[in-house]
Amino acid sequence: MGPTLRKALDGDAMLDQPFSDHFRVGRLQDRIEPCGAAESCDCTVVGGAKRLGDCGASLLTIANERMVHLTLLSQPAIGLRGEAFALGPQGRDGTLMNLSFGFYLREAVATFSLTERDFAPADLAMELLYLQEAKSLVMQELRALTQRLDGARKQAETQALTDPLTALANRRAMEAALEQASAGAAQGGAPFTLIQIDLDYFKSVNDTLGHAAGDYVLLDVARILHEEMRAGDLAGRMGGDEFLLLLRGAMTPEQVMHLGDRIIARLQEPKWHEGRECLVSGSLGVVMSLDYQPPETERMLVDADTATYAAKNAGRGCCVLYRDLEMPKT
Amino acid sequence: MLGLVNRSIQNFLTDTFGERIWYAVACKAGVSPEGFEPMLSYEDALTDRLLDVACETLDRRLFDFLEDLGTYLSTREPVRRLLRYGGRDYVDFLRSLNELQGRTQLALEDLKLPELTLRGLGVGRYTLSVIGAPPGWGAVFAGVLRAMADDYGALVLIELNEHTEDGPAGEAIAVQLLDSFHASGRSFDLSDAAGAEM
Repeated sequence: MGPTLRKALDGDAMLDQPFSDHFRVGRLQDRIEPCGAAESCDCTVVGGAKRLGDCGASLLTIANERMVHLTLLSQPAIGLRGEAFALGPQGRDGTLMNLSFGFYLREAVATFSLTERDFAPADLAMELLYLQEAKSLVMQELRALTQRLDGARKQAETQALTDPLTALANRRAMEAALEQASAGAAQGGAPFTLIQIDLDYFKSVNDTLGHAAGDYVLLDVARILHEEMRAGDLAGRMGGDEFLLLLRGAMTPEQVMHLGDRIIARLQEPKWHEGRECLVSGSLGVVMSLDYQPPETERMLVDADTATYAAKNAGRGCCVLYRDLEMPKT
Repeated sequence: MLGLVNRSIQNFLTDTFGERIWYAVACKAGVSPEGFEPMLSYEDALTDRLLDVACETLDRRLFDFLEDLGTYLSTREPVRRLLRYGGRDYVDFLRSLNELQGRTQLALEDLKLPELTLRGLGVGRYTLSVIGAPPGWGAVFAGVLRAMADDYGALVLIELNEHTEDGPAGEAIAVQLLDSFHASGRSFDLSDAAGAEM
């Protein structure tokens, strides 16, 4: 028995004991097959009684295998692998095995407190341990890097889809959401409603009270729209003083008009910036996906715009359904 | 589940069925179109959802899909090379599967491959038991065994038993080796620079 195995297994006490008391041929999970060479098996007779297949195979038969696996019965989580050679004719003089810990190396080193001295200088075990440890460190670093990059990418994505002033969705985000909603509705998914909002009198607030007041109004409008949205709805700023609401799910025209009136009422609530009143209102244009077969984003946006202009022409501060505009024509 | 597994499914979908299918699957499964980072961990439920949506989209049985995934993976050159470390011929390769879980653990601790155990059943007949969660690894390895038989030039019959006595997580693959050297097989040289063509 070599010095490393001796150290690992209290070898002095093991000498002269039957092989099968300490080792099992095969891995732990391998099923023990009855010993193929039962008659000639050198481990089948223990204490005068036949113990068929205790070792899984006779020591002579494993000498014919290209590779042998052993499990340590005292440490079943650790296996050994290597080569077996029969000594003498028919293995009469015993079996010589050259073993290594294979991929159990790290566990074995920890379990048996092995050191550099326990491996032959020609053995690559130390290189393998070194490589494994270094690799784990590198992997840790790479994983942390991946996490940082992933976080940064998600943040950049969010920024690319958000209006920096109001934190509402920006035009790009709204168009993407709209494409998705249209595609869904075209395939028989949930219908949706679009409300375009043009602020009234915003330009005069900006011109007379300054940009700070204008920004203040835009922020307040964003807050109102945000509060009026249900889960699943999306509010976006399309640019300047133009906003768009995407309302998912079926709604009746009455429900939409009711919501529109409520939004207008809230937009008209007095807003005070540095002691000066900012008066705005909103002209709303509404299109509903159910009026389109199939719903096309571009067409719906054009129609919403038309309805919004109709609302402006009708005296501002009102909500117009595109469907009602078309009525007289049909 | 390690992102590497999800990423494999993503690459399989993209390479085999095209980007449009991947986008459709990703969209329905609630995954961003960029997909997965191989070294990050994701919830197991996400992998299940991804597979469900992929099978629904392609109108395939889960186990058929997974078997094709196994074949796809073992025909990627870097993976094929790692599998060819198994040995000189197909029988060596089959035996080396006993070590696959341990070996991958050395390389990637977070990749939980199933436990593979090969049993000989007499001349040229083997059964590979595959125990691991979630179910379906057996199908993946059936695909791997098929592809590697081609790679080694061996003629084999492979049959997957989805349910075995090893419990709900256990699957078994019956392998019948008809001819180890049926065709010439593809070449493999240990010294071919690993990682040169990732």
